[in-house]
Amino acid sequence: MRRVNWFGILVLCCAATAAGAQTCPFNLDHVAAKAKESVDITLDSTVLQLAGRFLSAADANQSDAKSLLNGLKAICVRNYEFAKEGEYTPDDLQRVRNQLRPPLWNRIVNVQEKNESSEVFTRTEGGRITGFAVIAAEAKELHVVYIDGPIDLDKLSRFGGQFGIPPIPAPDAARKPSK
Amino acid sequence: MNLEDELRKALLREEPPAGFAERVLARAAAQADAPAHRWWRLPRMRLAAVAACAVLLALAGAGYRQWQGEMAKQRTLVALGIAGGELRATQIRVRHILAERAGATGETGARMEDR
Repeated sequence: MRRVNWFGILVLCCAATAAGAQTCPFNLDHVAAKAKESVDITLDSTVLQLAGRFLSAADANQSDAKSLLNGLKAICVRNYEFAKEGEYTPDDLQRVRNQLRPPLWNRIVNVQEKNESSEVFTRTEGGRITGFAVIAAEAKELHVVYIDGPIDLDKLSRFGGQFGIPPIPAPDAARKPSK
Repeated sequence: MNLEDELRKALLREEPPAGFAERVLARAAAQADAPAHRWWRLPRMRLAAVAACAVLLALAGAGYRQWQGEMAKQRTLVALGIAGGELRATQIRVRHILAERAGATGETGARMEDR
């Protein structure tokens, strides 16, 4: 008679839960609780692989997305919009930055302006980018994107404003650059 | 004969014929022993019912898988759209700042850090 190894099943369940929890290396739930509007997307490798199978190779945009997903382990998106200023603290940002430290990660862009900041981090292994993160903070908005896996940044930047997502304006877009 | 007599005669207690109770019991026992020909007890019908359930389950599973795939696709496209948008916005911001610096305004501080 076959006996069920309940302990083995329990260990597998715990491992699966732990793997799910590690999809995003940061937790901003306490910030999300204060947000007026929020977008919270967490996609692990299983979901990304499933999505890849449903992306059409006939559609140019979907085909690009499909190629972009190759080898990706996780995508995390956290977008929060607050009713008033001061709903998140510098410590909240620092906790995210702490997960993106050298030697694995490098901050390649750091733009600091009054009440606004943008930081882009990449992880490079064997000469190619294997991780990407953006932290964009404004007085009433906080945007964090984390991608784990090999990613083509040129291709990714072309996705801005596609698939029904309105293009995200630079905060100072209204201000024309002086020529 | 008036109505009263007719009623009396009709309602007169009458003993059942001999062996009536035995015959009723015997028939009841015979019916209980006879095999019931209910359709779902037939082997072929059982097999068909199981097969129909299996097909329904398979269809439901395929439908659910399709729904999961479509959801995963939509969520992935939205995530890529947002990620690409954030990257693009940062690129635009850097370009503006660099353009401003080139114009020697220098009001904001921006730096491109080495990889």
